[in-house]
Amino acid sequence: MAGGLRVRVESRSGLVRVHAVLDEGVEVEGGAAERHPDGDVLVRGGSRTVEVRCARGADVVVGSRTGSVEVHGEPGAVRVTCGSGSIDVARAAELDARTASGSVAVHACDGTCRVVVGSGSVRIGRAAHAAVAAVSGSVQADEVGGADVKTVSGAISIGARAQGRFVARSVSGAVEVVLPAGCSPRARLRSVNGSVRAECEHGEDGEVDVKTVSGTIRVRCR
Amino acid sequence: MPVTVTTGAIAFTDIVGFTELTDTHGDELALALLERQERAVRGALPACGRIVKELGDGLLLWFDDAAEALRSCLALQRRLDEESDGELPLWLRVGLHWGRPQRRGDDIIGRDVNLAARIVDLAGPSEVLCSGAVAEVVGPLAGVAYEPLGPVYVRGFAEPVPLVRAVPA
Repeated sequence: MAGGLRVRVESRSGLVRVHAVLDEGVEVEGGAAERHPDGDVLVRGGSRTVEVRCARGADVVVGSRTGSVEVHGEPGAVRVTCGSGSIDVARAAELDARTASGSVAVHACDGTCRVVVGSGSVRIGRAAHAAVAAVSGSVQADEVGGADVKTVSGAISIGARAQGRFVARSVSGAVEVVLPAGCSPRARLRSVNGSVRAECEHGEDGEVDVKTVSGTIRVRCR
Repeated sequence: MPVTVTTGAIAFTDIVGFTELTDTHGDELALALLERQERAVRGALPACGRIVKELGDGLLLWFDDAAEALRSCLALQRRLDEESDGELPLWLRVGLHWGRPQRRGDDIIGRDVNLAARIVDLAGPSEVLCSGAVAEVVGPLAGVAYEPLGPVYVRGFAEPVPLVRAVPA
């Protein structure tokens, strides 16, 4: 965190755009900023777009009723909650993002990337660990060190960047786990009605644990 | 019917993906899931807790004690996780709030009940989301950690509400 700085943004319906790009301080356009007694900088937006520029490494907390949220630059921990609206995070030290009816895109997360969506889809580029829950939307995690993903009907695609523990649960969504070349994991793959294809040797290189009811399962190496 | 104001913890449970599951697997499965939910919740309720009523695919719960409410909700999730090796998973999400609703017979109504219902909308499967009021009343609790999610706008409420994610420590 940048000297303990935490920026909290509250917005009703406008787009919230946070840029963690400054050396220090906070600058706001389209909203009002005040120093909260607990030391946080509190930014109140409304129905217009609010742009916040803050110090690199600052923790960012955004609560939005219906507007979408974008976080750019190099923030610390990021927490975003939307009633409805999409969330786009370029980078975070760690992340908790949740929206009832929007989609979530995360490009890079150094720590745990926790995402909860209702009907939207989830796309994660790179993360140390992805903890994702979706209902009907798909989940795609391209390069993750570990994962714990649940969907009801959405498809799951997990790309492992190293050995780790990769857990996926789905009722009817198809699950694909792609491991590094030559990886031989402990694999526990179970589908009640769907087909299961394990194209890697069984071994001790991490763990892949997948269970579906009717979704197909495929585990392969690059 | 006499109405009184009562103070306690209000929880809503919700079966994740119930609509999709019912659509693809039929009404018999829906009934089975509802029964599994009720059985699991009854098994986790402390003496100070009760099921107020069934609401669609969820349950409205009441607890006289906030700490017991929190412990029970986390125990419920742990138990369901352990039991999830059955053919069809039962994923519940839980929203918990501490407030002063109106008690009308066995039912509870009012702003605080509505708020608890909105909190559960933001929870993921196997999660227990709480209002800041719950964390404040309960305070530090052995075996429980709070992860603040910040001020959150919930549908139908003018002001943002502080939410925390309660997790086993």
